[in-house]
Amino acid sequence: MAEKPLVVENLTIHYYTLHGIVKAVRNVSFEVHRGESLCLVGESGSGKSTIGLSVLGALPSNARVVSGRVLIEGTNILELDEENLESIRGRKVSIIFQDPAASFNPLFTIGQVLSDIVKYKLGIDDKEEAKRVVLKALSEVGLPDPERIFNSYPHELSGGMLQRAAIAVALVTRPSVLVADEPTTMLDVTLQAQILDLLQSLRQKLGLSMLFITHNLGVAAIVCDRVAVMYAGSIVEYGPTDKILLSPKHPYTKKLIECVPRSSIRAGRLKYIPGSLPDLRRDYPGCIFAPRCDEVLEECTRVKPKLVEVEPGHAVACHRVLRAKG
Amino acid sequence: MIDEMTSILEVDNLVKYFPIRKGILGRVVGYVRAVDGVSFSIRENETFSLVGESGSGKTTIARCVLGLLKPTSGKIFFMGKDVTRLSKEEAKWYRRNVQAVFQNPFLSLNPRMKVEDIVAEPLKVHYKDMPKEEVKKHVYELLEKVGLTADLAKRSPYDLSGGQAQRVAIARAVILKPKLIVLDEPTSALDVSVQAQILNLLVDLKNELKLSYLMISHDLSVVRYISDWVAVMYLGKIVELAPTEELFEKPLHPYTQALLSSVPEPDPYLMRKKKRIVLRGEPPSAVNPPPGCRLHPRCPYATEVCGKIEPKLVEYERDHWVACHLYARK
Repeated sequence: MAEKPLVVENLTIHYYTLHGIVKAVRNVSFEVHRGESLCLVGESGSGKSTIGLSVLGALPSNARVVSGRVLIEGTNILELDEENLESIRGRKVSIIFQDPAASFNPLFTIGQVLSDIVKYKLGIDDKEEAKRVVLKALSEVGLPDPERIFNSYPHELSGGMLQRAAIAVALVTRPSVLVADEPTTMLDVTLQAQILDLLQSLRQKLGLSMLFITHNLGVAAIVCDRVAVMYAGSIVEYGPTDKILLSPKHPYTKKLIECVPRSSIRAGRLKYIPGSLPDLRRDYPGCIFAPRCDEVLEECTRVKPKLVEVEPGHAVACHRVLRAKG
Repeated sequence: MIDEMTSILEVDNLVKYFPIRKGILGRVVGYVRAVDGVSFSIRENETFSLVGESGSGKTTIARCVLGLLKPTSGKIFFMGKDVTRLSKEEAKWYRRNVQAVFQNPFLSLNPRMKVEDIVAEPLKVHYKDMPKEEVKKHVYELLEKVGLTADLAKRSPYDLSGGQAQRVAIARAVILKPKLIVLDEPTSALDVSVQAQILNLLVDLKNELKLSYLMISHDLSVVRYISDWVAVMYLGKIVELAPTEELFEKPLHPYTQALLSSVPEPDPYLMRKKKRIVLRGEPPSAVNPPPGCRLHPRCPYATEVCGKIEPKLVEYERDHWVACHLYARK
C-alpha cells in the first residue's frame, strides 16, 4: 500500500446533463507509485480532467461515480463523508489547475490563503510559527522575496509567479499525491520550462506521486515516467514514456503523435485523424476508436478490446496488436 | 528589408502606445509601449509569422494592420497605399482585400446566424447586386472547399465542433478572394488532431488562391510548419527576422535560442539531448521597458554595453536580421 499512494480501480463516471447521460470515464484503472509521475494524455473530451477531479473527491454535483474506487494511501476517497474527506483532501492529495488566477480568491493576500491552510490543515495555531512555515513554502517554489509575496494580492503577481504560489498552496501540507491538471497550458514557453523544472525538482525532493494531466505530448515527454493515453473515456495504451512516444502500438497513439507539428524538423504535410470524437452518451459494443481507425478488423466493431500487456509494463487495448502478438 | 517589388504589405517603423490614465480627470501618467518601432514586409503568396510570448505586441500589430487600432506613429502600406489614411472608397477596397481569422471561432461567429448566412455576408456587403442564386452557389462551393458538408450550412455555429467552426471562419475570410489574411493564433484553441487539419487547409488555400498570410502565434512548431518568414518579438520589438529554415536551424538571438530550447517535443531522446537555455525571471512590464537591450536583465550573455545601448536590427547574414550586441561587434 505504501508504495502506491494512488490507485484507481475500474472507475466509471457519468455526467447527468440536459442532453442526456454523458459517459465520460469508462472503466479506467491505473496506479501511481511513490515518487513517480504518471501522465494522462488525451484530447478534449477524453475524460482526463474528470479523473483528476475524482482523485480529489471533488466531482461536480451532476457527476455520478457508477463504479470503481480511488484509493489515496489505501483509503477510498469516493466513499468518505465531508468531514473525513477534509482530512485527506489538501492533506494527502492536492491539485493545481490550469489557471492559477481562478484558484485564488482575489480578496485575500497569498499570505492569508496559505496561513489559513497551515492553521486548519496542519493545526498550527501560533501566528509566528505559521508565518515561518508559509514563508518557507513560498521560497521553496522559487518565489523571490517571499515576504513581499506574502503580502501581495493575486492580481499583483504575474501568471508564472501565481502558478508558483498555487504550487506552494498545494504542497505546504506535504501531500503524498499531487494532481497537476494542465498546469502550464496558459503559460508562455519560457515560463512553462521554469514551472516544469520546478515540479520535477519538488517531486524528487518530496517523493511526490504526481498525476499529470496534459494534452501536450511534448510536456509529457519532459515530466513523466509513464504515460497513459486516453480516448473517449478509456485508456487505450499505457507504458513507459519512451515506449509510448517512440514506439507506440495503438493506432490512436500513433496517429496522435504524427499530428504534432515539430519545431525541430520541417514537416511535409501534417497527418491528421479523420472524423471526430464519438457521441459519449452512447455505448459502443466494440472498440470506441474503430470508426476512425484505418486498421480495423472484423471483431473491432463487435468486441471491446481489453488492455493487455504486450511487453512488461506496456499495455495496449487493440485487437490488431493482440493478434499480431499471437 | 524584403524585396519591395513583390511586397504586398509593408509595415514601416510602426509604434503603438496605449496611454495609462489615472484620476477623475483621466490624466495620462504613462504609456504601455506595446509596439515600439517595428518594420517588416510581406511578399505576395508568402506567410510571414510574428512569434513571441504574451505582451510582446504581436496581436497589437495585427490589430493595427486590420485597421482596428490607429497606430501612434509609423506607416502601413498595402499594395503601395498608406492604409492609415484611406478614403472611404479605398477603405472598402482595403477591407475586401485584407481579412482575418481569430483564435476562438465561437466568439467571432454570430451565434444567431446560420453557417450559410455567415459565409455569405461579406458578399452581401461588398457585392450588393449579386443575385441570390449566385451568392448561394459561391457559398456552397466554398463550404465544400474548406471541407464542410452541405448539411452543416443550415446549422448555427453552436452546433459545430471547434474545428468545423474554424473552417466556417476561414470560408468567410476567403470568400471575397482577399490578397492578405491575418491569422491570429488560428489553431490555439483546437486539439492537435484538428489543428493538423486546419493547418493543412490553410496551406492548401494559400497555394490555390495565391494568398499571403500574416500569422500571429506563440507556438513555434506551428510557425515552422506554415511560415516562409519568421520575426521573433520581445517587448514590442523585433529581435530577429529570417527565412523560416534559417531561423530554426541557426537562431542567433539569445531570446530566440531560449524560446526554441524551451519548446517541449514528444521525443524523449531529443528532449534529453537538447541544451536548455533558461531565461531568468519573467518578461518585464512594457510600461517601463529596461534601458538598452530589453532582454538584458534576463539574458545569460549580457554584458555592460547591453544595459546602455539599444542594439539595432542589422542584417548579420543575407536575409537574416538580428538585434543583439553579440553580433554587432563582429
